[in-house]
Parts: sequence; C-alpha cells; structure tokens
Amino acid sequence: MVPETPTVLSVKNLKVYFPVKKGIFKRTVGHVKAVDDVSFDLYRGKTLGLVGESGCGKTTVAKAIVKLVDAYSGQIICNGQDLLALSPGRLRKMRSHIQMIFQDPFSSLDPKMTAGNIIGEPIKFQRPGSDLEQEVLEYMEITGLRKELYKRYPHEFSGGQRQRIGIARALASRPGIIIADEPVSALDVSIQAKVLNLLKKLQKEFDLTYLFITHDLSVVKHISERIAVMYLGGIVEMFDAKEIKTKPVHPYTRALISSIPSALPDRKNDQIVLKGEIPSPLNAPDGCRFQTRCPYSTAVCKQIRPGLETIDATHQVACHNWQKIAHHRETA
Amino acid sequence: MSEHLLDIKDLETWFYTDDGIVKGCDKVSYTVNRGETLAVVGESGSGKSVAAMSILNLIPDPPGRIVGGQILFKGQDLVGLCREDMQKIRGNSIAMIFQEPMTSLNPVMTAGRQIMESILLHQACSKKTAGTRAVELLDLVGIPDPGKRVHEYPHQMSGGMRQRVMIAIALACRPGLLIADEPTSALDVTIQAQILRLIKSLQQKLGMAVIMITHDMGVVAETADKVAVMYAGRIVEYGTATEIFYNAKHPYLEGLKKSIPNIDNDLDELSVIRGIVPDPLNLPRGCRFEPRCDRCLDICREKQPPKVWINDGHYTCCWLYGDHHGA
Repeated sequence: MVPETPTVLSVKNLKVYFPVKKGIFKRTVGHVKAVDDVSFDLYRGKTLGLVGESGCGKTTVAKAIVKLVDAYSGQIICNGQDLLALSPGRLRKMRSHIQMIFQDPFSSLDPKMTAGNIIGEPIKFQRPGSDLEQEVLEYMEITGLRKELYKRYPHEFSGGQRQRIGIARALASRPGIIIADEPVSALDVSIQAKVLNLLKKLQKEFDLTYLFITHDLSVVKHISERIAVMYLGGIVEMFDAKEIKTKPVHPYTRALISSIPSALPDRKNDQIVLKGEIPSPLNAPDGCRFQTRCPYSTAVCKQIRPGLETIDATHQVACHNWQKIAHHRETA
Repeated sequence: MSEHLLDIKDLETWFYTDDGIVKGCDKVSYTVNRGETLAVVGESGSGKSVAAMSILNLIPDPPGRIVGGQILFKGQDLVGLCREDMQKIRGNSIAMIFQEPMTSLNPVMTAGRQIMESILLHQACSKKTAGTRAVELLDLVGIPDPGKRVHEYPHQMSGGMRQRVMIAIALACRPGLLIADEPTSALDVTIQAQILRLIKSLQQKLGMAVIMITHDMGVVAETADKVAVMYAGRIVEYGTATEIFYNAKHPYLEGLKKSIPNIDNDLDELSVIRGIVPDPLNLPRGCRFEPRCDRCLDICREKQPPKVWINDGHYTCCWLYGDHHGA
C-alpha cells in the first residue's frame, strides 16, 4: 500500500521460536514456531489490526516487539534502529516510545499500588523532577477518570475503569506507538464501546500509532485502517479494513468473517464452518499452514508454503489458489 | 400451565452479604416450551446466571437463597425440593453446560468415565452399556475417533473438544432441558460457530429445550426463538427474537444494540450508554436504568415501571410505553 504517513515501525521476517526441551540434560528436541516469518509496517497515526484465533501467535508478535520475549531472528526497525540488536542501555531509552496495554485489567495492575502511583511510575523514571501529581491528574482526566480516584486501589475499580488506568499508564510515557493486546475482550459490551471510543479519541489527540490485537473482527474493523490476519504463526492476508466485506479471498479469512454471528436473526449468510481445529505449532503441517482445514486445498498446498503475494496496493494474500477462489466467488 | 416445560414465576434469589442484601434476581419470570430456545442476555452482574443456577438449586447457600417465587418444571415446583429429589433431576432431566470447559471437567478422570458417571447415576444399566453409550455420545457431539478419545484426559484435548465433552456429559441422560451458561464465550469464533451449530442440530434431533445464557447479541441472533433481556436483576424486555431485534422498545436494549461494533456499517464513533451499572446494594428507587437513561421521565425516579405489553408475548418494563392512567 502507498503509505500516506511515514512508517514508524517495521517488522521484518520476525521469527520467535520456543525451544522444546527433553531429558535430564534438557536437550532441545524441537521448536514451537510461535511466530514464523512475519513482516508488517506501522504507519504514523494509523492502526493496524492483528486478528487471529488463540494460539496463532498474535500476542507473541506484540511481546517480541516490546522484547518481553526474545526473537529468534528478524528485525524490528524503529527510528532507524533495530530494536533486536540494541544494547540494553540504549534499548531502555527506546522503551518509553513503545508502550503496551494488556488484556486483563485485573492482573496487569499492581494491587498494592494506588491508581495515582501506577500512572505516575513511568513519569517518575522518565521525567524525574516534573510535577508528578499534576501530570498524573492530567492523564487521569484525559482517560476519563475522576481525580478523587487518585488514592484508590485497583480492587476498588470496575473493569472498564481499570482498563482506563492501564491506558493512562501507557500514555504517561509519552509513547509514539501503543500495542494494545485484546484491550476490550474482558469488558462488557457497553463498556467496550466506551474504551474503543477513548482509544480513537486519544489516537487523534496524540497522533498515536496502534497495533491493535484482537480475536474480534467487528472490533478490529471498527478501529483499524488495515487488518492483518494471522494463522498458526504467519500472516495469511492483509487488506484495508473498509474492504473487509469485499476483498478477502483467503479461505481462512473468509471463514473467520462468516463465523461472526449475524447481527440480526434470519439474515443468515452462507456460513462457512471450518472443520477441525488449529493444529499444534509444534508440528505445523508442511506446505500451507491452513491446508488441513482448507476446503480448497490441492496437491501444491501440501508441499510449498505460499508466501504473501501482492494482489493490489492494499491487498496481500498467502494462498496458492486465490485466483481460483476469487473467480469462484464472482461467478457464485 | 402444564403446556410449558419450564415456568418460572416471580423468582427472587437474594444474597445475604455482610454489607446488605443483594437481590441477584428480583421477580424474574420466564417460560420455556419443549424444543425451543430461550436466550437470556445481559451484562455481567445482571442476574442472568443467578436465575439459571436457581433452577438447579446451584446457588451457594449461604449467602444466596431463593426467597420467593416458583420454578415449575413439568408442573413440579423445584423450589424447596429436598436434596435427594433435586439430585434426581440434576444432570438427568435438566442438564447444564458451563462457560469454562477448562475448569468444569475433572482433570483426573478420563472423558469416558465422566460421561459414564452421570449415566450410571441416573439410569439402571451395566458399566459396559454405559461405556458403549459414552462412545456413542462422543460420536454424536462430533469428536473424531471416539473409541480412542474416550480414554483421554481433559488436558489432552483442546478447548473446543472439551466443550464437546461437556455437551456429551450433559446429553448423557437425554435431558428435556439444557441450560447453557455462556457455552462459547471462552472459545474462538470458528470453534464457536461449530459449537452453536452442534447445539442446534442436537436440539432438533433430541427435541430438547435450551436456555442460552449469553452476553453476546450475535449468539442470540444466531440461536434464539425467545429472548429475555436482563438488567440489574430484572427482566427489562421479553419477546420473540424477531421482536427483540426489529421492534426493541426499552432504552437499555436500544443502547446496547447500538454500542456493538458491526461489521456491516462504518461508524466513526460508537454510541454508548452513559454511566455504569448501579451498585446492587444501592439500587435506584424507581427504574433501575433511570440514572443512565436519556429518555427518563419524572415518574421513572419514583416508581418501578410495570410490565407493558407491546403485543402478544412481547413486553417491556418502561414508563415510556403504554397507558398509565394519567401517570
């Protein structure tokens, strides 16, 4: 795609392998290929949505970017530097630039710290000497937390409020990039809408770039400009969020879209129900990762793993048979 | 009256906590007929699970207790039934599937033995027949290679597989009523589609009624014949699925539907319901939704709204509708 805004982060051929150890000498007997050759770019002020089912490696991608897990190989380039090759000291300076919001607002806040202390902690380290309380109150106001909540502890807050604390804490580092890992999945729908609106508002206000990770396609469609679909450690398709109904051709993306329950009864679209389940990444199939569940799989899928192929400026797909599928859909 | 399989009348389940009484379920009534699906929707804390747990008397006591109302199952009142009689119903004519397939199976028993357990408990048959039945059931819920899987433990299975085992256990005694408490919330969308489809096809095959408890309007649209919408312990709207989706009346339900991001439309901002769910210990005196409602009237602050019938089988609890004789 032709970016309208500059690239702020680019992930190149990222691989994250977890060794599997066995025996008394803990010999490495194999690898769980949690993330296997993933590349994408983040554009300034835009949102990339990363969707996939549990175990597809989407969270591992996020953790590798903020270096909560070590990558096996690849590059993560931010401001001209490869984060994976930086020395710990220089990396620490970069850390405030990329912040993360976690899924579970119940376990990602220290229960023994007050809301004010949680939000203030990054300020204390990164900008010592600034008026801590004043700044914290500002961030609380921005995220919609009343100032009398400053001295309260996490257990006194509701789920939605806790997620706001998590967002305020991330903002307090003045980041350019925020990685949000399922930030609304643990919330009720009416609260979810509020947090999504808040994230959108903040993006405009602070010119933030989001990597938004979720399993919910309706949410990702709402918040992102572009969507990348992951399956078993790899990206299978990337497209513009606006074109979610028309563009996708990868059989997995289409099955995913069709399994979203319809918003209204008796408006059943022809649902594609996938057979079986996502295979274990410990022994991912040779060839195409999706071939074990794919209704279109052919002999070539069993042997050669398809790479991401560019269809047009905004659309890439990793499938040998996409032309056939696209044609099939047009005629159907 | 006996035409309904399950008829809940003015059920009141209260929790006696240290801080006061929480009315988890406040005068809830609904009916389920043979072979039909009732969806109970609501956000966390709305009392949707409390009502369902009350049916099988699974409310922890203390602090919870059913203080009023009737639960008629095939004409028999389940409230106040003695333990032995309740056990004959539980897992036999009424079965339940829980949300967490990871935690509701016994980790040290094989799938087969867990299925056999309920067959042996409720039906007079030999272990051998129960064993064959277990294999048949696993086959019925679509587990490949059931003869082998029957000897496996829950940790050897995936989430979707475990939920299938849960369903097999629930179906072991051919229940007339299946209560499914958020059966797919912990599962991925493609697996959710499989499980919903499975429940539906089994329902048609076995003619059982289903109470589907969920927070997901999508699941409701997919499965329900009738819908009860709950808010802060009460039913605020009740009707057929078509009525609930195309002719919703209650401001809460309207707000809820608008706040869900939809793949079919492009909105810059989602509309939201302002405020939060009221503290169950300190509920508003009048309508419970009044503090968050954009269309509230003076009377809403004073008195709880009555049931207003929109048409046959569809009612809402809101002062905005109906004739209140000058109120």
